[in-house]
Amino acid sequence: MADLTELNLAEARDGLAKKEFSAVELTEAHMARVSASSALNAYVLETPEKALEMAAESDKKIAAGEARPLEGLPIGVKDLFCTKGVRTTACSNILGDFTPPYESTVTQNLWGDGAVMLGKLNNDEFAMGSSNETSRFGPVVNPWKANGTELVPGGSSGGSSAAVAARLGIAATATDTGGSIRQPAAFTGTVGLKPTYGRCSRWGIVAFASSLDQAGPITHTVRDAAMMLTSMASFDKRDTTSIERDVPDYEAALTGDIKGLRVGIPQEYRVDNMPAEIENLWQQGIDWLKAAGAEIVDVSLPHTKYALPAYYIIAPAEASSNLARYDGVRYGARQNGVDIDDMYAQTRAAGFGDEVKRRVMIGTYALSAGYYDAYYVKALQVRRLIAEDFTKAYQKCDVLLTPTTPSAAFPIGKNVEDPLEMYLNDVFTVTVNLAGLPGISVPAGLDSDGLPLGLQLIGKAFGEEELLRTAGVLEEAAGFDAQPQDWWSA
Amino acid sequence: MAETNNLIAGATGDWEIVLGLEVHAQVASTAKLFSGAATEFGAEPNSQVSLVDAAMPGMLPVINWFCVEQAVRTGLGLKAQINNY
Amino acid sequence: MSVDENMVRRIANLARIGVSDDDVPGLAKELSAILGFVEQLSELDTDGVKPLTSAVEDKIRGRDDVVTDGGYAEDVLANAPEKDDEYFAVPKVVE
Repeated sequence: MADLTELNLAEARDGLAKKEFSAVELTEAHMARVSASSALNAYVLETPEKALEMAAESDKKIAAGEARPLEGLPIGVKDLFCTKGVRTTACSNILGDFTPPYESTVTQNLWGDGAVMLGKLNNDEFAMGSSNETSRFGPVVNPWKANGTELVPGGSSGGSSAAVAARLGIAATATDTGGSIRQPAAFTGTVGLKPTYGRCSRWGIVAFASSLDQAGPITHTVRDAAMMLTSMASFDKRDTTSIERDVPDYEAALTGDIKGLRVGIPQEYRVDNMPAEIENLWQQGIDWLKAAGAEIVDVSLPHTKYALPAYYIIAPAEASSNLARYDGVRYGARQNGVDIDDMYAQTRAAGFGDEVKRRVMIGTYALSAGYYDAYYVKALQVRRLIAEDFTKAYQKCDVLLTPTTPSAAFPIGKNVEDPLEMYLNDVFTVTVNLAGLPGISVPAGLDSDGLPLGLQLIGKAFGEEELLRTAGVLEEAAGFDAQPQDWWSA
Repeated sequence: MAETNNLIAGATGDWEIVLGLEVHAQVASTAKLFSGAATEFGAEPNSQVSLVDAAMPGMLPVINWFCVEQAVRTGLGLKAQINNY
Repeated sequence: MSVDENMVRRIANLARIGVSDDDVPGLAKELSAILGFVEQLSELDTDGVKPLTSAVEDKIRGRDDVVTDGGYAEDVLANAPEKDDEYFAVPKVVE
C-alpha cells in the first residue's frame, strides 16, 4: 500500500469509495505521522481514541453505502474552534484546561459530513499574530526550511498550515481575521481560502474581532478547498451575521473555464521595496490567466494603504470587547486576588500574553471616552471607503489578482521584538477582511531560497464559485508540486 | 382666591421641596434580552443561564425583539425621542 | 499620539489587566509606536462618510420572546475554577 498520507482529499475520498483502503487505515497512517512530527509543534492536542472511533464509524457508513461527503477523511482543527469534550484553549494560558460542553457549528458540520478529527492545532494566542510565535504552547516550525534555519509557518493559523504542508492531516480548519488563513498558506505552499463574511457560522469559534473573523480551510488543492467549504458553510440562526443563502456544491464550479473573465490588477498593491521575485511571480500569474482566456484590467483601490492602520484600530477595539469575558470567574485559569477587581487584574495579567495585552489595550484606548470619535469612528469611516474601492473596481472586473504576502516565510524570532514590522505581513490580505470579501491564496512558485510563494485572488461577495474556478485555473497553470524535505520526523 | 406657592418657611429662609424619582424598571419579558433563557423569578441558581449568558468562548448574542418593542413603547409613553440606531 | 505612563495605567485599569511598575515604560513605548502608526488615518478627509461597522448590511436578525435555552446548570458550571454547589465562587465583591 502506497503512503496514504500522500493523498489529497479528493484522492482519499476516491480511494475509500473504491475500497482500496479503509478509513481506519487512512487515519492510522496520519496518526503515525503526527506522532513522529512533534518537532514541528503543529498539534497542541492529539485525539487518537476519538479519531479511531470516528474512522471506525466511517468504515461502517462506507460499507453500508451511506458515505457522506467527507466520510473518513482525517483533518486537524485549529484550537480556536470549540470542540465538545475536547480541550479548547485558543492557545492562551487564560483558558487553562477549558473543555467546552458544546461544538462549534463549523466543526459540527464537518463531523456531520463524516470527517475524522486528528486533534487540535496550534495557533497564535487568540488568533493574534502572523507567525504562530505567540502561542502558549510555543512556536510552530515551518516544514519548509532554507539554509538550515527554522522558519515561521505564518499565522495565526500556523499549526493548520504546517500540518497540511507536512501531511499531518489531509486538510485543516482555520480562521482569518486579517490574513490568518491566506498568509500561512502562502508561507507553506498550501491553499488557504477565506470565504465571504457570513458564509460560515462563527458560533462556537473563539471570537477575536467579530466583524472580521471568518472560518475557512487550508488544503493541498483548490478542489479540496471547495470540498471543505461545501461542508463548513451553513446558515446558522445562532449567529446573527450568518447569511441565509444556499450552499452550492463548490466542487461543481471547478470547470476550468475562465474565458472572458475580467481579472483586475490593483496598482496600489505594487508597494515600495517590493521584492523583485514577488513582482515577477505576480506578472507570471497575470500571464497565466491571460493565456487561459481571461481579460486583464488595470484597476485602482486608492485607499489600500490605509487598510492596515484602520485594521489595527478596528480589530483591537473589537478584541478588547470580546476578551472582556476572560476574567477567571466562570472558566479557565484563575489567579486569586484580595477582592474581585484584584482577581480580574491578576488573572488577566498572568493569563494573557504580551501581544494580546497590547491589542486589548490599544482597543480599550481607541474606544475610551474622548478618543472614540478620533480613532474608532474614523477607522470605520475609512473602512467604508475601502469597501467602496472594491465595489467600484468590480464594475470593471470580476476578480482581483495580487501577491499574498510581501515576502516568503521568515526565520523564527526575527520580528518578535517589533510588532509593527510583524503587522506589515498582512498588507495584502487585510483589505479583504475589512470589505468582507472572499479571498484565496494559491501556491504559485518558489523563491530563490526554495521557499513557497503564493498568489491571492479576491472575489465578489458570495462569488466563491467564480473565485474557486479562477483559482483552479491558476493552480493548473502554476503546476506547483514542490514538497518540503522531511527533516522533522522522529 | 388666595395665592398658593410651594414654599415652606424655614429657619434660614424659604425652601422649595423638589422630589425626584429614580425608577429602575425591568422589561417584563418571558426570555432574556440576548439569549433564550427564562427570566422567571425564583428558579434554582444558574438554571436559567444559557451558554451565551455565561459568556462562554464563541457564544454570540441574539436580540429579543419583544424587549426592543417594550423599550420603544416605554419611550413613547414618556414622550422621549426614539433613536433609529 | 504619545501615550504616557499615566495613560498606560489608566488604560490598564479600564481593561482590567494588572501591570507592574516595571511593565509600564515598555508598554508606553509600544503603545505609542502603534498609535503613531495608525495616526495616518487623520490624513484622510472622511467628512460625511457613514461608518461601516460590518460587511453585512442586512437587517439584524432577532428572536421571539419564548424560552428556548437554559436548564443546564451543570454544563455552565463544568469549567468553574471554584464553585460552591451550583454557584460560582469568587472573592468578595462588595466591601
